[in-house]
Amino acid sequence: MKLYFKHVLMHIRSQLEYRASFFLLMAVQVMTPFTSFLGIFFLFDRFGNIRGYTFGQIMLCFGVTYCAYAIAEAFTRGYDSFASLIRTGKFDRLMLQPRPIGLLVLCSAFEMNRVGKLCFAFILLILGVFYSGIVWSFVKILVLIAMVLGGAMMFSGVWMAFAVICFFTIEGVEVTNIFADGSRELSSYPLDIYAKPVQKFFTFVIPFGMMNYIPLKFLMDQASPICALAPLAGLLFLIIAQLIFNLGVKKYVSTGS
Amino acid sequence: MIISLRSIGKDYIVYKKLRGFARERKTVHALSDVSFDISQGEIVGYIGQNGAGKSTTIKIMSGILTPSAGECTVLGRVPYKKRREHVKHIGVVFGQRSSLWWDVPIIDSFDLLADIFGVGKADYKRTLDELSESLDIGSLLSTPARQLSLGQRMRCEIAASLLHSPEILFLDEPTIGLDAVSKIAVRQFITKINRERGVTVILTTHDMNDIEALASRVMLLEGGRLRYDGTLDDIRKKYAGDKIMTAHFASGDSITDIPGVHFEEISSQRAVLRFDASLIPADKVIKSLSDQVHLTDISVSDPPIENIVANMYKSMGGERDA
Repeated sequence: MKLYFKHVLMHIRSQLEYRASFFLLMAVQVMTPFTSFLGIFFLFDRFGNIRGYTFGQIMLCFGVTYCAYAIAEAFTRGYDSFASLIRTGKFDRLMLQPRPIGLLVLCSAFEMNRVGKLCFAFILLILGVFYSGIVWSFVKILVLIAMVLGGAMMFSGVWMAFAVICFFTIEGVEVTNIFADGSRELSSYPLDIYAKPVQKFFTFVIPFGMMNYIPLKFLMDQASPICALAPLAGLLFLIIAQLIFNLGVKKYVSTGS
Repeated sequence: MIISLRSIGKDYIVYKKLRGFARERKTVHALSDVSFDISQGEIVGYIGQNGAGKSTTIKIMSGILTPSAGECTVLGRVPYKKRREHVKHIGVVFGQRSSLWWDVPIIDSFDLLADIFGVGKADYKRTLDELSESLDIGSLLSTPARQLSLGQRMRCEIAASLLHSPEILFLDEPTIGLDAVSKIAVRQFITKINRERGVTVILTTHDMNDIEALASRVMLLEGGRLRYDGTLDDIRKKYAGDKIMTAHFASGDSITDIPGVHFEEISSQRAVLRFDASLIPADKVIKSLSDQVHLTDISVSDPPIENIVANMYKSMGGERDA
């Protein structure tokens, strides 16, 4: 853990070497959630609500998802950009260090400029907290935090699991983005506005619904307290993804680039 | 034996693209039946053309790759099975891949590496002092890697690979792209750590001068097979019967053909001759020359090692095609 933070510190110092680029990137990073959010805003401006969800509730949902995404991007960028790690031969270098390879990959990147995105998402989250009409309690706040963290784990997990693809082909990485970015956009809204098969996929296969929709129902007092435990699925997913990744490394070592 | 390879083979499966989606599966033998032993304290030069399998062997010995066949033990461990334990005892320098952080001062990269390798504070300080002294990098430590010249960076790179005091050092093209002064500095340092600390060194290079200056033993790889394992002198004897003679003589004199001698170059005052010393001894050549002209200077040498090795590659390439 100490080692990880030392790496993070190094990354921050490296990135601050190029200040102008750093702040520009940060600004650009804010644009993605901002435009998505504008879309939602105009949608509500026109229709008032979607399937009974108010603007405040959607904002909460959106905030949770984007916070999770920004956190995941900042911390587990090493897995997200795994293809380049392989291509540049940096992965081989990491293999020469006497630490668990998963940790080393995690250490290999940290994106400070995602802070901008995170701030924007966090503001929406806070606005959502106030305008959603939810009656807050201590437990509910905890669940909300768990939703963000669980979501971050989930995104990281997706990257990690799909990073394995890079061991076999340098090309097929866009598949990852279909799942990660697609899931992000999709889970910015409560799941029940979608068709049943879509809901099932995102509840059981890649359980983004567990991070978002199901606990949201609990926050809105529309579901049993058991749903409050749903964000734990993020941790489970991450563990499974880690196992897949380790298997991939083993395979890589025996097949080579 | 601190390194021992027994009939190591490594196959890659590549897919050759045909028209459309069709593709053909093909197995490439990157290495086949490579066996050798290296004992503690040796400096071994590992040579071969691009794609001969040098890097693959290094990767296997350093634990990055698992061979498809054979057995490999380094320091009593199988590197690809005990990766984490193994890499603590080896240092690896890739001439073309840096282990330094580009944008932060060198010393910070070093500190982090020492942490990763779990080097104790006192040991780290001592090693760092030694290294910065003998590699002359003390003044570079506060500079970011991106501001260093290639030669300076390579010296830091080598220091980085030795912070954890490894017993074996793998150098993959350590002098690539360096100027003459830096090359000599790197070579001197390699000799030094080999002699003083008993570090075993395995280096790959395309620069035969590296081999000449450093390696007591040469291994030549061609087409994934080990084709030669011995001293550089033996290569010379085996592949270079020819001698090169350069003669300077008074202007106005002229030279006629000498049987068994090939004239590489001839001008009004200078001639370069090549002959096989086992067929015609050097003194005979000199005698027939001095009969014809007034010699002012004369030197006899072996052909450059570069040419010898190029000839070796060529002759082996011929066998491979056949």
